[in-house]
Amino acid sequence: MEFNSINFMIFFPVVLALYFVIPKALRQIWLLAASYYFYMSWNARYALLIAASTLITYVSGIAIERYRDRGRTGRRLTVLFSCLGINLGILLFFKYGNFLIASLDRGLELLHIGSVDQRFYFLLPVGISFYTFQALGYTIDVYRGDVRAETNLIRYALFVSFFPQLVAGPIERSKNLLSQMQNIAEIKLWNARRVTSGTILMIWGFFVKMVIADRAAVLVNTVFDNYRMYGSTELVLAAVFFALQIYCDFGSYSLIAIGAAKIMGFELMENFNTPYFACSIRDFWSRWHISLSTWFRDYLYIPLGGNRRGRVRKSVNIMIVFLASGLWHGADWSYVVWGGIHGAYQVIGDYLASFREKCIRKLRVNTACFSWKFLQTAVTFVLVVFAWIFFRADSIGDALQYIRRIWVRPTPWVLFNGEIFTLGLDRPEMNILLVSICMLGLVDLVRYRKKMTLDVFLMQQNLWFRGGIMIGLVVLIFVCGKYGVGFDPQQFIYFQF
Amino acid sequence: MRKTAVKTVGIIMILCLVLWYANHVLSIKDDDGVYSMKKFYELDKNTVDVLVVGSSHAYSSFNTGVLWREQGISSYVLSGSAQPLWNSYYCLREALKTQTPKLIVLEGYRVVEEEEFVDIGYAIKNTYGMKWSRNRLDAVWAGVPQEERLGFLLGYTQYHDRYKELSEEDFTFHKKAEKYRDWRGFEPGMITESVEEPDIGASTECEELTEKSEKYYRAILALARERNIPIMVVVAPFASMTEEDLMRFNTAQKIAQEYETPFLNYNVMREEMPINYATDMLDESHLNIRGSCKFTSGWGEYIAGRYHIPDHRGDLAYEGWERNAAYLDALLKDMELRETEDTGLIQEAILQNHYDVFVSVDGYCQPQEAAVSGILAALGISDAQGGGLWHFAGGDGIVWSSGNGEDSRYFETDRHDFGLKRVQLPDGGYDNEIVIDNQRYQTVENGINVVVFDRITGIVADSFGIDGDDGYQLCR
Repeated sequence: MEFNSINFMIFFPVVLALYFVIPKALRQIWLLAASYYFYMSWNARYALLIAASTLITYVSGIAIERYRDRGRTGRRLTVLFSCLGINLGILLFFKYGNFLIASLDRGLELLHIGSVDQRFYFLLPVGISFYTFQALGYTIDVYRGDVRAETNLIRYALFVSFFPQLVAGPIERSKNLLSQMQNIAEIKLWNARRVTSGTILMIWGFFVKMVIADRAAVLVNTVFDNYRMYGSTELVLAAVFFALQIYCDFGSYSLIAIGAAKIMGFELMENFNTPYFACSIRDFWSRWHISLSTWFRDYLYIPLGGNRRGRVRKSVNIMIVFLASGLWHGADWSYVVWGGIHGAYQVIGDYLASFREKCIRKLRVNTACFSWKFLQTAVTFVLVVFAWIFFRADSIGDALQYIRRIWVRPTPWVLFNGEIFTLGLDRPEMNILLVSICMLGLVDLVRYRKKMTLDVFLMQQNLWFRGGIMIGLVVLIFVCGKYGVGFDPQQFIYFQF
Repeated sequence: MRKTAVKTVGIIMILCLVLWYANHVLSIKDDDGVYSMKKFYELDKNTVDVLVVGSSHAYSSFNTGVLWREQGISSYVLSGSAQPLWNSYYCLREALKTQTPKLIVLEGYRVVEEEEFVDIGYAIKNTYGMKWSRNRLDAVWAGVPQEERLGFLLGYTQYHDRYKELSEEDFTFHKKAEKYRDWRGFEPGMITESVEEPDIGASTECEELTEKSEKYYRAILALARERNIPIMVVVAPFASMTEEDLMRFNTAQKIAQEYETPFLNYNVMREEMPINYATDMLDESHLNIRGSCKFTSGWGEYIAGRYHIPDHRGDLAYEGWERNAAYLDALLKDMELRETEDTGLIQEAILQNHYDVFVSVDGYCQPQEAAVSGILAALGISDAQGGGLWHFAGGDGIVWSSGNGEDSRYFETDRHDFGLKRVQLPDGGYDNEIVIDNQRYQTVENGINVVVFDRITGIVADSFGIDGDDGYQLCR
């Protein structure tokens, strides 16, 4: 049940309506039932996996806390690692099983030692990386004593499976979401301001997904699927559009999730904060998929030693985190390369920092002006787009060929002779896309400059303006959104992770 | 709280209003199936005496104008392309809510249907015209695969991306073209394709209909019986009939006999229906307007003699049928004019009262040439030496000509814009422009250009030239 499906359009209002009217004591059970129904709409059997993960981390949390109270450090550690092992084992088996075997095959083939003729034939459980990380984050938090172990199984199960963010994040922290769930009975549901705010976020999320992301996907798929037929202009355009597509796709899911949760009285953590306004790769990662970046920072980078053990160790830690992040995104070496590129950007950036400073001083570059900021943002964007090519291409080889063709097949005339409108989007479609991207840019600019999300900004405006924007967006979604017969709905890209 | 509720309701109401209008603008307004149903709803109750349901064979064959003109019968063709029998059934059910015809006619071609579901486009045409009702729901259920039903019922999901093909008529609540003012569902085929006469023979062998087709075929016959309305099944002439088709028609005939229903397959009743396959066909499967006139004339006589259907000619309540017939008459004359090569006949034809004729004498033209002078004389144009532009209005004669101090004329009717302009060129010559609805008409550069606009049908009935560069031959 994707957010942009008719099923969800029926599911959510029904869940919401009952949530608002049932007795407070039943709220948790109702949301848990709704969450499992939501998850089972993809594949009912995989509910067993999430239930198993929930149960293991729930019991582990209680056990860890009990051993801590009794001062049994060794057992506490054993439980923690057992819990991590089992959960990561499940993730490894379902998500990386075939990848590992294929990689092993490749290695054996290179050594001319036969092959493992075995594959697993099952669908990747939707959102397994998200809920596994969320549950593991909770276990580590309990181990560290940052939160108390949750003893109410229903509440904990709801924390792991809360439907708005279940399949594509944000990866919530127990400190934030679980504590809100502990006070679920205190949530004042009939809060017009909060409900309006959540509704605005949902509407904007649907707009970004259905009008921008799915439209850009048409051109991106056309070019990436046949990149050998295109030259530099089309290839660069497709790479840039993919950067927008994935931002809009993933960002919209987070917006809808945050908005839906908000309407129900829960504040989810921010996941995207104008990432393409970032002026460095580090800055980019503080704005992109924030819940995952901070997860890796808190549960991997810092435990590895962070930046406390010298420059070389810091670089190694960064590379480990980004390679892991790449692998988290997908069971393919191209994702690992993508992560590695981002890691390398940061490591190289660190090593070149003093040289860069020296150059700026020598050349007397004014860094306190718009042009410098613009240059930084533009360079960061180009670097990010370059890395996205590896993310989107079918393999590393394809990505390299794609990049090679950008250099060896210049086709600047395509910008002017109308061929650009043969890439899956005709002129009206392209116009709609460009206008929508401008709208997105405007909203992000307000966010960037005024530090205000769209809902906060609109709630400060007069009713006629707020209402007009909401109505306008809904109409644009209904008219220009990609849905209905003849349209192959693009699943939210991050579902596969 | 109250204030918030009022604001929220206000915004939701405005949103609904905007979405409703967007839905209206974007909705499919095809003549085919959709608009014919909409027009049907607009009819006064119980005014339709003969109701025809069926596929494109129905709307191209049953000429409502001829049936009115010759028998005074008020009829309506409620059909859509490839309309399968299940859609005909639900259309009929819906139609019988407001009309109690004296005769129901099922055009029976679709008994040959082999698929369980027709293409989605046809399913749209055959259900989207219906108002929200149990019948529409059932029609969608019967005609659309299960996985597509929900989106189909919402309708909007199917056509929201029509924004790229919007035209003027999408923004008005009624189609404004002359054709639709009193449209009765007949869709005249305006071109001629010469096709081979079918040679199938008269086999009496039978082949089973599909289970679904038979179910709805029987349901249609049973519905008529239940409502106590006479029904007949007619298979209109078409040239692409196969032996398999014929065997299925034979089966359908046997089933019809069970219900004591007449079954007329005009494809095996050649003597009673003298269709000329060289001149009367639109294509292999459909009659053109000329063929529809022949067919309806013969069939009209048949039903007039067997059923008690009143003659409404002269009855003011049925003026719409009179206007529809006049429109179709004019359309046929337009077609005949277009197909005429004889300049003598053309000279007579263009003088009809409902024509506006625009003439330009262009370039190097000798007005004394017989072909040219004949047309000019017929229109009353005497001084054409040196060229010029003229507007001849049927019934009023020449109403405007260039050179009388005026070199241009613009005028408009409720739907159409006309522009006549004579411009002197740097070389001393003249350029004559005849523009109708933003389209310029000029067939020849040297000679005369004639554009005939039909005020009844609202179309350019003909546009031709007498070409000075080609021995003053007629050219189109």
